[in-house]
Amino acid sequence: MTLLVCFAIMNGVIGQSTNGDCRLTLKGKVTDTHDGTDLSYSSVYLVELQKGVAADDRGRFSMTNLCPGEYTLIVMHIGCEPDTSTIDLKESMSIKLDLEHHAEELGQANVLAFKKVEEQKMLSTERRIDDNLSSMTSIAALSSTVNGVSMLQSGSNVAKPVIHGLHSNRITMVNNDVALEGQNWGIEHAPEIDPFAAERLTVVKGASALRYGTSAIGGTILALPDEPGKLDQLNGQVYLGAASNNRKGLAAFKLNGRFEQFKKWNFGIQGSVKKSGTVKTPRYYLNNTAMEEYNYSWTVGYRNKGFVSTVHYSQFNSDIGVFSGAHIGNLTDLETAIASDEPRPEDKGDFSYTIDRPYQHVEHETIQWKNVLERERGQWQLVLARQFNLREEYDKHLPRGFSADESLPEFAINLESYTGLLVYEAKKKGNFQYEAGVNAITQINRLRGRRSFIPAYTSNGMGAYAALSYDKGFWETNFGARLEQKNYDAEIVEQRQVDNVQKRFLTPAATAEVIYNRFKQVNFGLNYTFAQRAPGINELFSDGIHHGVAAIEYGDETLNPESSQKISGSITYQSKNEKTDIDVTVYSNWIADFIYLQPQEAALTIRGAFPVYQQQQTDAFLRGVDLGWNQELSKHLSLEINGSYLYAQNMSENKPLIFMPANRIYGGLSYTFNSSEVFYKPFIQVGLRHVFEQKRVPLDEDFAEAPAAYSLLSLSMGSTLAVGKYNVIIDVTVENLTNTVYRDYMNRFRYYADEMGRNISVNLRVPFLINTTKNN
Amino acid sequence: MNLKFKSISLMVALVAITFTGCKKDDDDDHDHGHSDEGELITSVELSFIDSANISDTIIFAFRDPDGEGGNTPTVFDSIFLKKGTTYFMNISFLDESNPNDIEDITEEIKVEDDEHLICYDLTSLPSLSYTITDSDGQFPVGLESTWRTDLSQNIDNGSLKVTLKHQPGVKNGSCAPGDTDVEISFPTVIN
Repeated sequence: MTLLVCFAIMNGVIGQSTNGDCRLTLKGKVTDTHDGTDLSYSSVYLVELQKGVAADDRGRFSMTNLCPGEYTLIVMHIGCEPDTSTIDLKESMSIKLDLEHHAEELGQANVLAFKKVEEQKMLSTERRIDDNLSSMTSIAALSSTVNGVSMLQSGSNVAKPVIHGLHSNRITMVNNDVALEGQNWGIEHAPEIDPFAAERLTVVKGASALRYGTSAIGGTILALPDEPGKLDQLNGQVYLGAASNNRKGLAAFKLNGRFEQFKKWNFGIQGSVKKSGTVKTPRYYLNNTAMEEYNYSWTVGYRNKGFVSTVHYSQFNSDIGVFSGAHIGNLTDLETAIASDEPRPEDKGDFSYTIDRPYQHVEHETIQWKNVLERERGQWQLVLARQFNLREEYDKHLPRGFSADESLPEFAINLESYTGLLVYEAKKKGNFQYEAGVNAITQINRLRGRRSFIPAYTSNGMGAYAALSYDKGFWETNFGARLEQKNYDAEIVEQRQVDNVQKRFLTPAATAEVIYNRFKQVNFGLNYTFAQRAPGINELFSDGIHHGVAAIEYGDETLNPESSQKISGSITYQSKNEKTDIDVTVYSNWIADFIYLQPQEAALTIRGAFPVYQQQQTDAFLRGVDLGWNQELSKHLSLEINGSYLYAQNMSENKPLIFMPANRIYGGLSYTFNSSEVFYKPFIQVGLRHVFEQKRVPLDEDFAEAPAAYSLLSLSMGSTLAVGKYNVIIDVTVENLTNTVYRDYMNRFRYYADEMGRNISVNLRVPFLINTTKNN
Repeated sequence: MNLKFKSISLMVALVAITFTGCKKDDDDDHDHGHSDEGELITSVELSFIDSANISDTIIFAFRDPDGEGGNTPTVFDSIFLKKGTTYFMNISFLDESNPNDIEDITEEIKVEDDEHLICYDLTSLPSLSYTITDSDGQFPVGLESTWRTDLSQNIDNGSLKVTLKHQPGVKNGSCAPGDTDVEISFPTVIN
């Protein structure tokens, strides 16, 4: 679904006063500067009259009953920098407005090897955040609206993205040009990014985003904030949301812009708060599943000619209740939980906003300083950042012993990271363009608490990369290579003895890509990427009990980097009348020395039997298809179909890989009504998502069988409302409309309980604009 | 250029302020530390006292001083009981992870007896029966119990499973609610 609504003001379309000669009409069309395509639903705003209109789907607009005079015109479109121009209106006239389409600029800045908007479509997918008001529950939920991306969940409140079957250590999350450094190895550790801070999200499937490291063999997710405005005004947005199931409430705001008095400076501030209570499945409540989260960020930027310097600070804080029925003692408890249809009475409970033990407390703080220097031949970028990540786990059991302080977590990890990135991007010269960069990272991981799962360590890393693109005629090629060094110095505690272990890894990566756009409607792309990933800290050194799954996991210090080779091909088609959009991506990924958890014989402990898993290496093969098809059936009706298929095999042992997302298909039908004076583009959409049963599971490795297939019906409706001088973008969504009882294979809590039942959410967004010029 | 320089210094100042203003310096005193370690249960001892001769006490134990995972238990006794005998049994739970500082967790269970229950499950032991003799005022606790073996001819060869449940707020006399702190199945022979 794409609800393309412009960030603009369009009040007073009707009902203006007419006096004297004020009968002039201004008509026009908004197009993209680069390729001349129509920019549908742009907004055109006359500053002096504080009056605006929205263009139609072809970018056409018209304003009537205007008085003669000189006007300042602001044109806005999603993904574009607002553009200002002045017109001297003497008679009715028709104008053409060109707008610099923003996506291209961002594409060049952020997605290496995919330079143009069209190419971006090929092997990475971009999502505007504003299109997905109801999926803004987490960055993972938002990412999973992209085809080929699914979610790995630990209960209802913790989710992380899975790209083409790979997750955690194999995915890099990049927030505002800084790779997120948290405890991302953990399946129950969600990425610490505020979905409301990101303005757009780009998913690069595969390791071709070389700028951010070689370890992202699954893919890279880039969350990008608002670009600072170039006008003397403040752009703001207010979001409000509520959901019925867990009685969630959320509020968020954004404000950024600049003042006429300080034209070289721009400012931004953003924040969000969220609170939700106990989650309800169709049959019962899930005890202790409340959560709360608050995040904020600010930005100060300085711009002078070719130099831009920006300081950005952000903080992410959350407390997440962990379903009490999932925090179990031993294998017997797990088997009892799996055998019973419903959780125990004590784990069902009633609705509450209270967060009890067990819970997670997560903080993430980032301060970054980004400098961009434009030169005649290219652009220099320097990004320095410090990140602090705190993760505290409070077990269900209070600490034993009379002296123990009950407010202490059982397990706390502090990860402090310092990163630096220097990039030079040359301007295109002839058919060539290149960029190159170096980066460095140093990290300290500290531990507190009575148990630990990973050791305390320090880590240092360094990398260098270069990328080249060459185009000729209908052909475009991109090449890139990277070399990375990663060092760990870990403190292993065994039998109360501290042992220092050092590990050193050198990992290369290389990518090559060919794109052929002979035909205007069809693009072909082929990408080959080789990348090595150094083992993560948990894969090397984990030692302990995972309470969520009642398993003991052991790392292996002798692991080698895994080597991934991925070939992906993609075809995009857009019909001449733009009514049909099809994109298909096919990929094959061979991963030699794939690191995974191999089940061992159960261990005997004082708390009974525990299954034991050992980090091991094997050869893995993953292949799959992602398909997307958008079809405009009539002026009002449009159809969206997408699906993902994945086949994942452990080649050495000749059996399926465990915990891989099941195949899925989605169909959505939306009807857009004619706009009225109050309702702009009201729509209603019905969606059906079917997730197949994961039939490809290794025998006798999982505690429970894969859950059955399920289908979920969703209904959403929305519109942009003109309320006074504001636009209110409102969206009402019902998920799991039929209140279906189901469990998902990719949710580790499927052993214990059903998924969330029917959930009705109402979200609204109000953009506003404050003029900061003196004479206003 | 001058202006640019000024702005850069301002940026540096801003960054410096924020960097130094950052929170969480409380990890200094926990430098890579495991200092505030709590207690865990590493050992269980079952003391069977012959009611006819109270100086005759046999102790059966399970000890895994490095906790779950890691090394296998250092002691894992089989229980041997005589036919036709009545025993008083006391069970105790210890933290022996630090040999210089052994903690008796039984005391804590006694204090919080309304949150704890010790369950005994007998498998293939037809000649053995038991009665829990202590109570939290409402429900049994299980730290103290009486065990009887009958005089039948057959030798019993089975197992006795000891489960310590932590049941804060949910104790109802049954073994189902709460969390499992201890679960050990002792091989048991009665002859």
